[in-house]
Amino acid sequence: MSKMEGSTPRITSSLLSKYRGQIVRCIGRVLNTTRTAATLETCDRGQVTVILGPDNPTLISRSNVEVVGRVTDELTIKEFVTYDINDNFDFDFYNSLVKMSQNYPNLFS
Amino acid sequence: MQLVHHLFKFQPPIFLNAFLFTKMSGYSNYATYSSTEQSYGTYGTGEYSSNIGGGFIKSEEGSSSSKGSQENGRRNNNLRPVTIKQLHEATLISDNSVSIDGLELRVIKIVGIVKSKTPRHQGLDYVVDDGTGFIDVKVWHDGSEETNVNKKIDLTVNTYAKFFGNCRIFANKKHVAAHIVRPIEDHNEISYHMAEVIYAHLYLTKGLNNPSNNQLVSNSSTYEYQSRNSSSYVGNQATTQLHKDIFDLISKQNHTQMGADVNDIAQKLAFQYGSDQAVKFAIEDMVGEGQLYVTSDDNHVKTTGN
Repeated sequence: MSKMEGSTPRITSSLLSKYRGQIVRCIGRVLNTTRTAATLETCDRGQVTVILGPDNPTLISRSNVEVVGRVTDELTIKEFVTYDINDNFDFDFYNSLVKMSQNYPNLFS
Repeated sequence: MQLVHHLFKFQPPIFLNAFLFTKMSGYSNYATYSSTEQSYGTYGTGEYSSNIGGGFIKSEEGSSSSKGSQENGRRNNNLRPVTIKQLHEATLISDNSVSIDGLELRVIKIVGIVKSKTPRHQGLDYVVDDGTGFIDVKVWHDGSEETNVNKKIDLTVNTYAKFFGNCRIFANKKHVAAHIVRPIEDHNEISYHMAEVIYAHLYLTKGLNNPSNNQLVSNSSTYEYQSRNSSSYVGNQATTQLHKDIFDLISKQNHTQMGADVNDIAQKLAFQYGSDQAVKFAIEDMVGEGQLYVTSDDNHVKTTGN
């Protein structure tokens, strides 16, 4: 199946290289943040650096977020927009689903 | 209907081992949903496409007590979790209906981010993004009881929400006419929805169901006796290949008075199954179960039921 326009696959830190140059979405916990960049702990317990968009609100440490952005050549994510995710988010469960969804590109991407 | 029954009975689906479906608290909203869709007419037994197996369908429908199920003229009131990509790639059946995975869509559920919100004369237009695509979702405020509830629901842009409604086609473009929209507070619902989408897809394309349902035909060859020679050796789910081989060998000697020699059988199969003791134990089991019976002495057996 061809890749859907406007599709933003859900990724974990280990999937970053697969989607180099593409727009993805990544749910994670904010470990630390500055005005220009943040580090997320992703659901597979890896980390990813997010280059924050200049006009976007800053991220809050220890909160859960979903970042939608483009994977750079250096395997960071250049943020377009960030959504809030609740504090009780089950990362392990989500991790299993993200891994499983990789087996069903006909459904998800 | 069966799909609804399976999804909301909190039965752990076969292929998802440890997922905690009991966490799905947000599903109490389903109780408020009443079907306002027009009747699509009667549906025969072709309700689920035939790749699941005719015998299975008949028995399941008889025992299902999910809402909307009637004896004849069944209304296909199922609720299907889908992704926006699935909606866009759904096959057109007629001017105003589509199908996914071989089953015509009725009410669908999607979960995604509200990207935009535009008030219209008689309702609200959203654009929703669930990571697999974008779609327009229209909510009509037409004064009926149910949509008055919707008027009070105000989704915030850039938050997650769930939408229940029908997939419509207009001017060659698909959109969702939503009856119910709800904001999502527990984002684990994103994960649940993904799990349900996968499950529903596999259910319809691979005929997954309760493995204890013995009427499942098609590819459960584990339970099928492979050899053509045996007539009545069916239905025993503890059957192993060893038992089958023993049965086969012994039945070849059924025409004699004494039947087969146990030591003889054990020797013949010992190499394949590890030891002749293992074969003898199996023969003992089979005697205990009534598949074999002892003839002139403990060392000779014949098969029963031929």
